[in-house]
Amino acid sequence: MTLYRQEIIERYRFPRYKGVIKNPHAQAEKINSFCGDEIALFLRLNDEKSQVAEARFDGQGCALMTASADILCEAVQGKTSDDLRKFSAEDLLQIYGEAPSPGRLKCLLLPYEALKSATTLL
Amino acid sequence: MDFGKAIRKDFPIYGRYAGTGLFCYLDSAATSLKPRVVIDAVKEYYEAYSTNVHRAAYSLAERATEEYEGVRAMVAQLIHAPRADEIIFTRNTTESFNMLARTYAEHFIKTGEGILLTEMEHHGNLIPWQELARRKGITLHFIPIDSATGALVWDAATFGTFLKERNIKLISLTHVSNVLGTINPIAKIAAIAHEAGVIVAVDGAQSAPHLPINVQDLGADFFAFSSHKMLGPTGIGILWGRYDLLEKMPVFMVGGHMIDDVMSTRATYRAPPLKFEAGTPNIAGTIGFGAAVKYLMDLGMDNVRDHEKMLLTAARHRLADIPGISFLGPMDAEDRSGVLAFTLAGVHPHDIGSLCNEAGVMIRVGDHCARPLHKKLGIPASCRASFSVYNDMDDIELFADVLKTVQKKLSAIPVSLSHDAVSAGNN
Repeated sequence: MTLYRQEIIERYRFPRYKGVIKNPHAQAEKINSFCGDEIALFLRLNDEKSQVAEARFDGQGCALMTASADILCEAVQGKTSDDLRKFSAEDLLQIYGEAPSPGRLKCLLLPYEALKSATTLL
Repeated sequence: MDFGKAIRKDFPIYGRYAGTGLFCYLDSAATSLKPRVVIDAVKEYYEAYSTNVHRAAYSLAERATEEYEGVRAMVAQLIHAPRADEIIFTRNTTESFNMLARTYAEHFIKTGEGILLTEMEHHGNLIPWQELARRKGITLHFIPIDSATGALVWDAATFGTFLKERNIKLISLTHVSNVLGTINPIAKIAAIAHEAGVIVAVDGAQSAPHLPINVQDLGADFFAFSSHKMLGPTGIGILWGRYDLLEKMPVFMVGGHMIDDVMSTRATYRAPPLKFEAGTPNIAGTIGFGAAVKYLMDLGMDNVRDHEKMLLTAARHRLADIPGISFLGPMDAEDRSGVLAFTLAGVHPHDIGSLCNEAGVMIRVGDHCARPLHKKLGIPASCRASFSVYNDMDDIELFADVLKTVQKKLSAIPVSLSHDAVSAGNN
């Protein structure tokens, strides 16, 4: 068992959704003062404003946080704001695939907390 | 004297994980492993004479009292304290500093006066003073550190004047930094402090387990440390203080055990150290600590120091060629004690900690309860390997190999953050 399967390392080294969206419909920043990780999450809706057209994240952090943010940005594409509100931490952990140790859970969930804050702005 | 692999048979936890290849313990600065003699001493108390102390009407309680009180003399011998009744049993180093802040400092340091700490203090020797300063309007001052060398920045020629100008009444500083490993020049600082009438309290949590300690040579007025970092049980700590100071200090926790006479509306208290030990104490933990102190003294603290110095030097040498590694603290093993903290460029400390764990290597990552120090160093967190008597070259070899693998696996390639890339990635 490893928390660092190949996909996680790939997403950490070459994240597919890292970047900034100019004039997003919603954005939120979160920091984990314990380890210095920080993330900004950006959401842009489609023209009808019914679904997430794209999600991006920026910031710096450990491999688990970065991979989790990348997975999250992929997962929320096409979701309605209702879907986002229903999206739970368990949903993210299920997509992530590995159960982290309690000490590392916060790393995985920092992007999720940013998503929850951003969702309130939609 | 044997160390490392030769004494692992004394530590039952090594037997428990024998053959798994997953027990490389490098976190003794957080807490140490326990030898069989300590576990047996605790077990023997619970199985053979688990009675209370200081109220003996029967033989078993007399034995409990004798064993418990006997530990004071052993601890006094370990740190070369002049008297056994200067040894106060607390829960841990942090409680020792809380006691000191609430008793000596609360009573003798006045509003407008100053307390001097350093920038490398563990939170245990920082937060109690912050709270005292807030309560009483006392000013906290800090001896800065040189981030590059990990040494305190102070000038012996002007230090006495500095203390007088700032109206400093107490210096409380660590003997050995739990992050940098720096061994601070306590004796030099204390000599000047005493000329200026300043009391010196020393955090020995990271020195007592690793160095020969002589509180009189150090010139300390108070010296605090914990059992669990030096092969003893958790939940038992020490505050040593000069007897004349202990005598005039007010009490801390109050209640049973520490009283002399009790009337309905007031009480009188026992002499030190008992006046600082309210309620039934950690009898088993104290007796276990006695066994740990004996084990260490049998090894000889000079030998312990030599063994750990060898490991530090070897670790530093073996890790030095890992790309992107930067060590924190002094270069020379002569100037540092049993911890080796570092960062690895492009790899997050928590990832290093988790991947080391997957390979059976236990190190500490984070701020190690020294957040102001990490802020000063400009890093949110670091990795720390720390050594004790049971560590050996096999630990260093495995750790170095694992760290090299981690570095190769995770060293991040800088990712372009251009906005064009963002648009292009939008499917």
